[in-house]
Amino acid sequence: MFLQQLINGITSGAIYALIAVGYTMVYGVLRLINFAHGDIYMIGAMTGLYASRWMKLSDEPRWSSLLLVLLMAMIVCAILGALIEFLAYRPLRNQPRINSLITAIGISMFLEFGGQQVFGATPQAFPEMMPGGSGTAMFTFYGISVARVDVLILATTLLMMLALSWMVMKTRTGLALRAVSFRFDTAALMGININRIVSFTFVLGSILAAVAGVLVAIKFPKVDPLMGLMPGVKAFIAAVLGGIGNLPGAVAGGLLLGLVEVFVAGYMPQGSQYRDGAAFVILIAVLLVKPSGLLGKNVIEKV
Amino acid sequence: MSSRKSDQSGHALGSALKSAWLLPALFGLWWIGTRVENPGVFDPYYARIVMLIGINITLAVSLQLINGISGQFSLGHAGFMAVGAYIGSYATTTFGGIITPKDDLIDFANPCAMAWYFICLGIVVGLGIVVVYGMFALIRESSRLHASLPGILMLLVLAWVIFDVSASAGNPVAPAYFVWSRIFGLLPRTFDTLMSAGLPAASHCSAWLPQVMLKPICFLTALFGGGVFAAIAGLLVGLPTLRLRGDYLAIATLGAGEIIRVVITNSEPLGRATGLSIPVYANSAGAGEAAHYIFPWVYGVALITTLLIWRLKHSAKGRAIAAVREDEIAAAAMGIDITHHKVIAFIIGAFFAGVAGALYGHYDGYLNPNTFNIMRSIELVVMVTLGGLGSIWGAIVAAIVLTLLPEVLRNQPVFIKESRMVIYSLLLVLIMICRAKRPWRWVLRGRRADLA
Amino acid sequence: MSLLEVDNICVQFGGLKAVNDFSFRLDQGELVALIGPNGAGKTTAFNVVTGIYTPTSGSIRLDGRRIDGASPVRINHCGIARTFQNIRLFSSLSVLDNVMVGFNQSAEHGLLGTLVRSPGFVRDRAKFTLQAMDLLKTFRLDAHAKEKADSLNYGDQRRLEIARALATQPKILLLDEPAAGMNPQEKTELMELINFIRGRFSVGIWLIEHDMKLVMSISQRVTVLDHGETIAIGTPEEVQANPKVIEAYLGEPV
Repeated sequence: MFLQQLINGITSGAIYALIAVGYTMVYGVLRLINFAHGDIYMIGAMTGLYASRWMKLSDEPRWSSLLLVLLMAMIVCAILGALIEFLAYRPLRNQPRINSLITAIGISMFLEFGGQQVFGATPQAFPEMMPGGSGTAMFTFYGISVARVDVLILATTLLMMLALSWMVMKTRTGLALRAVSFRFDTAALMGININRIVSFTFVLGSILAAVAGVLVAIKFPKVDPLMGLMPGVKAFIAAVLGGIGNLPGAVAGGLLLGLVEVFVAGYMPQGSQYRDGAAFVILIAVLLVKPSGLLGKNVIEKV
Repeated sequence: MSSRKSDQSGHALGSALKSAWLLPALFGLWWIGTRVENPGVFDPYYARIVMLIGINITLAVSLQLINGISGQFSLGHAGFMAVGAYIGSYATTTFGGIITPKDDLIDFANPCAMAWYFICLGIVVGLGIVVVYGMFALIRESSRLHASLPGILMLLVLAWVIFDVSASAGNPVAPAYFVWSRIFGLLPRTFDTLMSAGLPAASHCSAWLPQVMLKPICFLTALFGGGVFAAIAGLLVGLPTLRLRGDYLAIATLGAGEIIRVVITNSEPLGRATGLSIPVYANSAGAGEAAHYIFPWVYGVALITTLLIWRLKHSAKGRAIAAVREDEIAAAAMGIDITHHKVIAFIIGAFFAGVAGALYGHYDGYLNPNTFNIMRSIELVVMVTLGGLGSIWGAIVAAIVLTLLPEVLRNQPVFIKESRMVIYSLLLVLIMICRAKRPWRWVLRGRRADLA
Repeated sequence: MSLLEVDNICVQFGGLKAVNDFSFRLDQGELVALIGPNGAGKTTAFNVVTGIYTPTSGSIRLDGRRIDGASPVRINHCGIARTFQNIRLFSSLSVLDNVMVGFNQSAEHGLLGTLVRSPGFVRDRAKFTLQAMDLLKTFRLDAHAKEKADSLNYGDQRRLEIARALATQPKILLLDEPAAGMNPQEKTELMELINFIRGRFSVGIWLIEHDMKLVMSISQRVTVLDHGETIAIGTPEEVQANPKVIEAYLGEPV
């Protein structure tokens, strides 16, 4: 039972990690909390839905069609993320940050309500995408079954994280990204094309969010336009928990949050109702005790 | 460098407009009020909008103190509103005297008992705060022994609380010594004891008051009590968040607001997720009608809030609060107590939000925790920001416009009506992008230079 | 016993000793300068006296009472005011408001008085406005009273910072590079102003400055810091001739 909860927690945490990384990267580069990020996750799921419908893929689930759906979601969200940055955040780059924050909220609302208009507010069923059925157990040991979809989630997350860290650590673009996160103005002075790096950041984050969206849609096959709200906020809390601006921190925070939620829901009386509250309690606790997060560093102001 | 001439003429025009508005505005309010208070004469739909505008003005101005004047980006104002709404309204259902034309329920409004109720609640809440704060202080002090100790201790305590409470509820997980469940259980018991001890005496006090004043005094007490507990919530939010910079503060207040909402959703006496019904003082149309006759209270509160916060802004204390906003280190070097001025903004802002919440509860007659969610806080922040951070008049105008806007859109042809929230959010984004060129800010300046 | 007694202060950040074994005396009406190359620890010394840092060892006494480790707010209430190396004005507040903030500590009214406009509040408002305008007149900034502080030119902003510090009615005034960025004419005027302040407000002035002419002409004593260590104390003439000082600024003789 405990191990089952553990697996659930890690799976749930992996999803939070995927979304949290997007938040933390954008914050690191722009010092902006992109409230619309959770809705990109939703768009990813929606794109997956319509892509699979359009290609009539649910008749016969295949790995190739699953991959195709993932790819399409990634492309659509990448474009959307870059577009949002270009249209809504770039004009406000030199204004006080609260203005960008409100714009981000506006974009989030626009995506949510617009989604309700375009996709309809009622939840829709996501078709079965995995050959062999996503719910069927892949491994069974000690009475615990690990569903195929969980394995997919863990494997995909691991893959994306590895790809991301390679991208950030080993490529020149990644180096530029880190430079911009560290010192915005100086990076510009060093000849780094800030606009391109910022767009790149949004694209990366959106791709990860899209993947998270499709994965969740496979696991819990109900998608609706508001599905990004709560996971978005929680992923953000995960990013703060790990230290916002810190990539490994986002992953650690996501995993930790997933675990805590699952255990609160499992072991507290009426825990399922307190599940959402747990995330906020963690948030407050982190902000009170160590606002820079588990892996973050305190920045001291020079007098 | 701002041109002094336009600065001065803008200022002159602004103040001229302001004083010219006063008398006609008051007259207009009175006129609207008489219409609103007579259901049947005035379409209840419009009446509702008028009432909501009044409540939103109080909310926006109180938030302006926190966000604009004090510069602390609070995204949890709906939480303060919720505290005031639930506590004030709950007090009314218990002590406020209820008439319904159908049943004859208690018709003895008991203001002193209500006051005693608030006092008992305050004592118990205070005790709870002391316990929790003591715990946090101990954990923080442990950082002296080793830097990582606080984090570990927090996780341990969290785990212990979870196990303790679940074990005491019969869910056998791990041995616990029921410490936490006993401590948390002591508080309600203290409350009950205090209440039963003081209730008879309080009821005697109420009997002394003139009969006809009972309901208004009850109402006032409910409003004030709601405000005070919201202010306590403001203190609890403002104190720990002192050292948090802009974005972190926003998240923290967002979290605080959500925690308040989750707590309310899970508490039985407050109706859980299904909501709380407040049998309001019936008007001639009978129970179930929204209470339009509290119009004078709503706008009275809005006026008082505006007046007091305006006075605060244009005073030595207001200058100090603004100085803290501008540069904390410089303000400290000038002898200005940062903590005091930051927290007081939260306390006062939260107080009026609580009063507004209590008004809303009594007006609507029905409270649902989802009314006080993140969206509500965001709507208020949008009002304050669009009006110009720091500008009280801006907040008022924005409150009026942004309360009307969704309703205006609602009355348009079907296509627009259906997508009104989409249009609202799109407008919001567009306005934020084009903000610099908005002409009316020239008159109603944000952060006016002269506060003296 | 001097008004300000700094005894063997050490300020350590991790492994770096920013200020080591620093001692200092200042009396009312004195004007003492603190000089040294960039990074010598001068502003750190200021910061530790004004409570922004706590010294790792040593003591600071004002009027006999220990103030090391106290908060900047308390230290200001005890009577030490300062200006900053990078101007820290309250940018969106008016010039007058910047100065009036300094009088808050002598206010007779409280929050309640503010809300109901009590007689105490009205009196305070009139009194503070008068005193602030007086101060602005002394600094020739009264014409700009209603303008926003950040609309002033650079020299005016520096003077405003000094005026603001004086509004807190300090016994000791710490000026951190007040002449930075000024042209020679402005510097001469500033010199006269600082001397005038010394007499008029009977404050002790501790000055960090790079302009040697300014320093030597108005200070009675000079302390020289280099890499956190005190390398010379004395009158301006003595310090100017000190070989260690010359070496610190100009490097070793070839």
